[in-house]
Amino acid sequence: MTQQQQLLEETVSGLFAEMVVPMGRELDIDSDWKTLTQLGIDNIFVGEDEGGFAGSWQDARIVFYHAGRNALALPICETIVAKKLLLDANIELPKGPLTIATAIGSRLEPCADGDGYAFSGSLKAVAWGRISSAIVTACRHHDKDYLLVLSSADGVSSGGRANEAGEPRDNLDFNSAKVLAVSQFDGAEQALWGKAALMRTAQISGALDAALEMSVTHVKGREQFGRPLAKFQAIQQQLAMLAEECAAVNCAAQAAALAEDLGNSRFEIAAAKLRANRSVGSATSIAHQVHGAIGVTGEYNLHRFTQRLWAWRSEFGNDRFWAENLGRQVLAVKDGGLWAHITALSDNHAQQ
Amino acid sequence: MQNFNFTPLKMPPDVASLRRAVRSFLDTELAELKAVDKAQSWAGYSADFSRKLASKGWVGMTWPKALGGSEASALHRYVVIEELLAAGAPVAAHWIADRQSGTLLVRYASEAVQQRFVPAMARGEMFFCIGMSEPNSGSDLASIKTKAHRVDGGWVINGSKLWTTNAHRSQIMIALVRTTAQGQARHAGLSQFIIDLSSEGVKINSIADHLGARHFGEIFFDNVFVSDDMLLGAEGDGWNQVNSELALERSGPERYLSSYRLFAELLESLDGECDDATTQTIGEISADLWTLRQMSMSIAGQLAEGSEPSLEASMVKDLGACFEQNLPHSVQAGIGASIPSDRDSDLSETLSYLLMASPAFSLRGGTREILRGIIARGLGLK
Repeated sequence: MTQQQQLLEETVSGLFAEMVVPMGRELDIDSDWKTLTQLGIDNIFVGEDEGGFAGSWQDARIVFYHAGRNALALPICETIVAKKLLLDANIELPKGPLTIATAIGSRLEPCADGDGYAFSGSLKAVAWGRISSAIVTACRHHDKDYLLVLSSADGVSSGGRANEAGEPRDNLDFNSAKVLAVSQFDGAEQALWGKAALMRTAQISGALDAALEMSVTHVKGREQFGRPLAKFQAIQQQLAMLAEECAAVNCAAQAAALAEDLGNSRFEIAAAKLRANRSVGSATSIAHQVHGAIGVTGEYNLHRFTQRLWAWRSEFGNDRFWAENLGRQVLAVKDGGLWAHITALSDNHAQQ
Repeated sequence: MQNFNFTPLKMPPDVASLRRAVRSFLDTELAELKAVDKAQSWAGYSADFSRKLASKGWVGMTWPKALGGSEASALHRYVVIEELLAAGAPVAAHWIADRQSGTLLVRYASEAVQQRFVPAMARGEMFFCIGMSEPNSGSDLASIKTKAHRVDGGWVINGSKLWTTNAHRSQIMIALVRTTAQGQARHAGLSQFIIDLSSEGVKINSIADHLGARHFGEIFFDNVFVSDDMLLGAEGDGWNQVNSELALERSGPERYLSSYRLFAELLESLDGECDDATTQTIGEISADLWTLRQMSMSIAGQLAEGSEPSLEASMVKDLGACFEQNLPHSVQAGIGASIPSDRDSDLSETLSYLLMASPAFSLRGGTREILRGIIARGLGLK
């Protein structure tokens, strides 16, 4: 980790820890959001001359990880990804919290008054949809890919149950809503989906580490049969397995972030999100099992992490989605199979 | 809580050309090797292959030039061994010498002893085995009974070793033995010795495994004399030496590639076409394999920089062994729509072999339970 990354890590880990929302407290988006943006956390990818961090995906991963590790209930990760997409598409950055979503049945057409474009389509389960000021989405129009920005206020709310952790996931319908900005962007939807999957992978990594830390602390303190749970081999072996899952996902997230920085990361992100998804079942079950009934108590914090893990496993590609995606990528390799492919990827990285 | 370090590794820029050279060598050398023989991975034995590989400079790569090595970086060696394993090359003969014994000699032995053994190891002519387990000592390694007592000019060794890989096909053993009686501190009083297996008083029997293959054996020492300079490192320091040696060998590519040939055969048999369920299985295996390679490479990078991430290495070995053991079961479970069921195919034969060979993957080099105990200690639970 570079010195700058260490500084970023210290900043965000301390900051996010103070933004934990206790049970029963209403989310105070405005004040916490102000704190985050005053420090420029949302501007990881923005250039230094525009007051940003001029950072990389490896830098952004640090923010995502600590957002997960602290179960941060704010759309900071979505905003960072949205801004990166807009920067790549040369679109001016809107103010306020942003989010990203893909659309079903979408249509882009010139506005009736000839000024700009109008968008129609349904956006399902948009993360922090109504709280965000604008939504970055992708659309195909006349065989070309476009990235566009919608004002959340133009969306008609059609429900959308919050995710397992109570984070807003809003359904928003747009009916010939004027887009705030649009730019042709090859592979817009894949780019959006991949970057969002990388974001969730790093968040999962952070939440897994938090669940492990809580579990270790708990079994050291809790005594049964006259000794701490930590002294029982059955508990030790379970927590070793949990630690291995944490390590694997952490490594996958870091390697995928590096790959994204170096260019083509289609394979790495698919593999990393799938690996992260696959850890969720066993990791959450171990963390809850060693906690006993305490772990499912409302005022105890474990559920803030496990609920997010259950939710994030589905978001931006569940196991099946990425397993098919990755499987197809591997089947498409003509010579030398998987081995030739993954070694070529890392050897290309080595030459950059 | 302790954080685990898995910083991604960027390989040195010139590894691609080395990789190409190794692949081109293997294309020729392995052309006639059957699929099921490739599946033996680092249990596949061919003294002839080891000599040819050594003639390319790919055995003992990191050792000093004066001892027949090429002073290559550990990462260049890493690329060579991952290519050997992915291709299913029969590396067993020189494997132990290359992976640990040579490095141990370079680190601890006198110059005369190094000159006697290491150049021959680097030529792929002198093979080593490691004497650790005994009839009553497996995971509880500190309970070993084989002992050495001092005599004029050296030591006399008595006892026996069991389940020693390649015992009957190696010239030399590095054995862990007791040099002082077991006292309060169980790990004290152990030392490592270099034992020439052609010495008087050594008796070796190979043992058939459940597949009928003879890759391990038992060795009896009846008043075997070794000279003073065959004591490796410091007397009584054997436990520490063995543990740092084990830590080095827990995270290499051999910890997740032991079943890779089955996956390669599977992909070949499908030729790019298959049903959704099989596609998903391929995706899942690929994600696990890619992640394990990232973890293994990260540790290789840390080792090359001089740190000893032994906790992380134990994690890679446990996760890797689970992966290697699950792979044959996933393939077996998926046979049907796309995966051919022809029992005479290379795929089927490879699958049968790996279903039966894979239980050993989580035993060799430290059992799953021992590894998880090490990790639990790292978490502060012990």
